[in-house]
Amino acid sequence: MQTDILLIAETIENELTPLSVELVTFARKLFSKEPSRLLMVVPGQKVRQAAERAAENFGIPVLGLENDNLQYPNPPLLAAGLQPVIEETAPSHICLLHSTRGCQTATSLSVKTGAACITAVESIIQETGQPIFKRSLFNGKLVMSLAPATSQTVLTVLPGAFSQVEDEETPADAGEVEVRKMDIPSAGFTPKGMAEMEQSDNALEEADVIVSGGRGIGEEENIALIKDAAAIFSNGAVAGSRTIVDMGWLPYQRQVGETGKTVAPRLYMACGISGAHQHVVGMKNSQQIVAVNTDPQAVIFSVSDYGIVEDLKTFLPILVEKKKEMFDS
Amino acid sequence: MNILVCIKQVPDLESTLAVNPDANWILENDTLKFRINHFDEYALEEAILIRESFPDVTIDAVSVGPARADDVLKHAISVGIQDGIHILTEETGYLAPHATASLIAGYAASKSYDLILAGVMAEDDMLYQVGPMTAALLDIPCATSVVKEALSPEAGIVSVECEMEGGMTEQVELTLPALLTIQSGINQPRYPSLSNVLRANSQKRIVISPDTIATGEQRENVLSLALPEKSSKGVMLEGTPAEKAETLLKLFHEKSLLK
Repeated sequence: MQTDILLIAETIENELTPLSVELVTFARKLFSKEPSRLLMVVPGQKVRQAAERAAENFGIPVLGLENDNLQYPNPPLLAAGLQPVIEETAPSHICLLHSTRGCQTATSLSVKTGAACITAVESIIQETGQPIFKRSLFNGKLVMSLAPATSQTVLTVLPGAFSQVEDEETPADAGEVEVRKMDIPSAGFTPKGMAEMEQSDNALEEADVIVSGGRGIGEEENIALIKDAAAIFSNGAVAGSRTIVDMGWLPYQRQVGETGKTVAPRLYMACGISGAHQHVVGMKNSQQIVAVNTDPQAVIFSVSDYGIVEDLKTFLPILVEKKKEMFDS
Repeated sequence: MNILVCIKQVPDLESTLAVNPDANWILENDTLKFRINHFDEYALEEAILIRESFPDVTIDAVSVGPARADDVLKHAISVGIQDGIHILTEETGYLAPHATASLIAGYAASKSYDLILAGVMAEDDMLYQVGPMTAALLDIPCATSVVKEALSPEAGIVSVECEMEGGMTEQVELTLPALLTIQSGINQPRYPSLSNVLRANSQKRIVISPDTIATGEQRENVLSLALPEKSSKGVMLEGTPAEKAETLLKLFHEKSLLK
């Protein structure tokens, strides 16, 4: 079963996570000029249904790997189970979703097989035969281009960088499905379950305007400036980046980003937020984005409709004052 | 119980960053500031909290880097770490995760640490690899993005909560020795204390040459670094702050967003 690209889907309780589809989009881009042979691995406890659905939706062969300890994410067990599959199929590229779990599986595989390990891939360049992978550094201020120095590469694919193309046709033929039991003992890592972090209100989901603060706020007392700015709007709410919530300046339900909420209000004002991917992924679909930041290099400006290079601590009070002047009779 | 905390010195992200002439890392000049990787501060604090909760705990910190990386080891000692180990590299630029992890694992393999902590990611390269790769090289269990941990040393296990996307956490139990990568927000990193600062200034670091540890062949080639493509998306507003505020407010008013 020789394969070019192995895709490792992520499952939780035997269901493919929605982002897993991005692996397929990525793989098709990877060898867009040449025919490729893809194989998707679907790990879990009982995966025949999920495997068959994936084979139908993507039109590619699917291998289900079953083990009782794969009900929840289990990077070490997955890496151990993938090793014989990799030996059998000899892929040039092994692709996982980028998350800390994906990176854990990827680094494990890299150590076991000697493969190159390139994480958080955002784009692929292919001028010559060999694909070159691009990814961000320093919160997106710089981009690094990398190529493997080995014949096999393990990659993690950044969520949202390879979103499914809208007009992709549903494939005519479902791929072949095989399901195997993995008889591998767990090694010192036992998932016990999953839980939701406390999420009590829908303030961010219901707001038309979100004014959000990041590290540029500086001191806890400056949260008041964000609150005052939000108050000039008829349906505004206050939010913050992870940094602010980590410090306890705002509660977790106000956190916007990869590990917080994803929002798409009519207007998102990012104040003192650098624009690191982990935050941007939570607000980039806002209808309009305004950014206020002292750093003209800040990546947030490349995703904003309007950029203001100012210190929020001086600019926001001026904004609030001007609003009174111009619109409050 | 012996704990090792892996810490990294990174450029201050607020600095203006430029690509070096070889385009294989950033330009390091006199104006570039450095500090400890933000996530590693949480790892240091978590180790200290463990020491405050259990008897007979020693904590070492290790850092792979050039001479200037001593500053982060100094910081680690000044918040209460016992010993700082400096794997002193000649190069100042990018070091691939496999090389870094090999150096740390090579050092740690000769000791017997019960627990190794590291920040979940480095703010400069954002690769998320050194922590789990070090664990894989040492063949010890690893959990990533830990937001809560509870040690049971007599039972030889650590129970953790790992953060996932969208507000979920996964509960995992690991056998010791184990490696945990620590996510921000797990604790509130403390400030240095005077007595520890004095100790940091007088105490010698344990310096190890990387030549004494095998790191294997390079697995990836860094081809270039560049500024990201300028997106044509946005408009940078011009004028005085008051003028910019006016422009924004007119926009907001047009869209009927204002109160």
